[in-house]
Amino acid sequence: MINFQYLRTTTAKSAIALLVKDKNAKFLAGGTSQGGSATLSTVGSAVNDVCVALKSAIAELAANSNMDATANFVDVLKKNNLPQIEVTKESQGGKERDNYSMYSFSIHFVQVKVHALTGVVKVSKIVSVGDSGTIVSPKTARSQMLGGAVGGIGMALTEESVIDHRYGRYINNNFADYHVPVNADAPEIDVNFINKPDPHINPMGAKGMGEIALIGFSAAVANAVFNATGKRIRTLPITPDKILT
Amino acid sequence: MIAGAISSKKSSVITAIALTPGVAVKVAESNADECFAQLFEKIPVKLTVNNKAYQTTVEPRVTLLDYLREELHLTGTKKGCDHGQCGACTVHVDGQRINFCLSLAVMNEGKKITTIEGLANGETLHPMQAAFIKHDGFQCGYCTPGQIMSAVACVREGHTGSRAEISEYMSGNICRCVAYLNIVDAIIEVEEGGETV
Repeated sequence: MINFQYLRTTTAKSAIALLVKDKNAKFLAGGTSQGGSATLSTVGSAVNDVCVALKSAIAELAANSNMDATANFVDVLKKNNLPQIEVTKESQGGKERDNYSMYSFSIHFVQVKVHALTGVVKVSKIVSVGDSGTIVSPKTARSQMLGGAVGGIGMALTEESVIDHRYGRYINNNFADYHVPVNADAPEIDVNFINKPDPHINPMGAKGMGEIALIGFSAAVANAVFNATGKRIRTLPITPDKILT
Repeated sequence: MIAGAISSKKSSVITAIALTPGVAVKVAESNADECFAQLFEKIPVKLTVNNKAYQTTVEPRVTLLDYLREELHLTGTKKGCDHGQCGACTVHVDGQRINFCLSLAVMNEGKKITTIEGLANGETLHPMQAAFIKHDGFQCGYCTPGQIMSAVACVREGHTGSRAEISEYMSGNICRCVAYLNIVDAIIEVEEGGETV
């Protein structure tokens, strides 16, 4: 259920931006989970539904007060002496999820440099392409893909949690021993999106992209290392000792 | 040494007599032992935080990070690893960026400290803050205060010759959401904008 007190536009894209900015907007998303890359599909659809309802409410108000249906909503409110218009809409989604499967896809291209003497692998260039339907927010979607790519560098090359099997404790439970990628580890990254709306899954045509940024990335690094050295490393992370032996 | 041993023995006997179980429980319940200890254990410190002078007493073991957050309630500076490994607690002391979790409050006597709260000019954002928003230089935001303080220092230090140099000098601040490239973009914009930071 979304309760909007005001709204300037009726497109889902700007509506979500508004939802974030509007302190008065409340949404109680029950039933569907907000995770598993499904937040945009579920909450976004609810925002879309309430925006459509609001649009027709404004149009109705305009028609009742003998105004053009395309009139500015501020003028419509002024004419009706209303400080605001409130619409509450419950969004449950349709049967799309039962009838259609929903998958997002991504592909990663990785260029690596392997030091012949030390076996250190450095990722020097990345091209990531994501297909998750409509891209609602290009800027944050790109940031998500960047995050997945560099997170993938850590997964592929440096991050390993080591457990002391006698006591069941992590030995490297600090950033000095567990190496997460830092700023200097992030290479040039080219992010692209297919940006093709999914016609079935929700009104916006947007699918989740939380996971696709990372999935497949470490495999791309391992393939690149194989291409460079002829060595198939089948356990992550690909540390210099595995390359040199 | 013997005299010391005897006197400490004596004092522990006195303590043992004075703190019979009933009394000990009462003292502990009323927090009196803590209050008593504070009289002896706290050390006076003078600090200037965000152009505001503070004169107070702190325990010598308190880090400046904890002092800022717990005593002054300046919670903009974040505690990440508390080991000096992540950079979330980066602030400026006399214009230089440091990890506050590795600095004791008493070590900063008379020093001028700037935290993320002191960066903006009233409601006007600091150019670096504005650039971080413009370039989406964060996702969850936890490392951001440290990143921004570090970024400002990076520009002031003049380590902005190339993307690689910026990356190198920003590598003390870990960002798990990996906004690194956007952060470098933000720093380049501020550098090229030529505003005084």
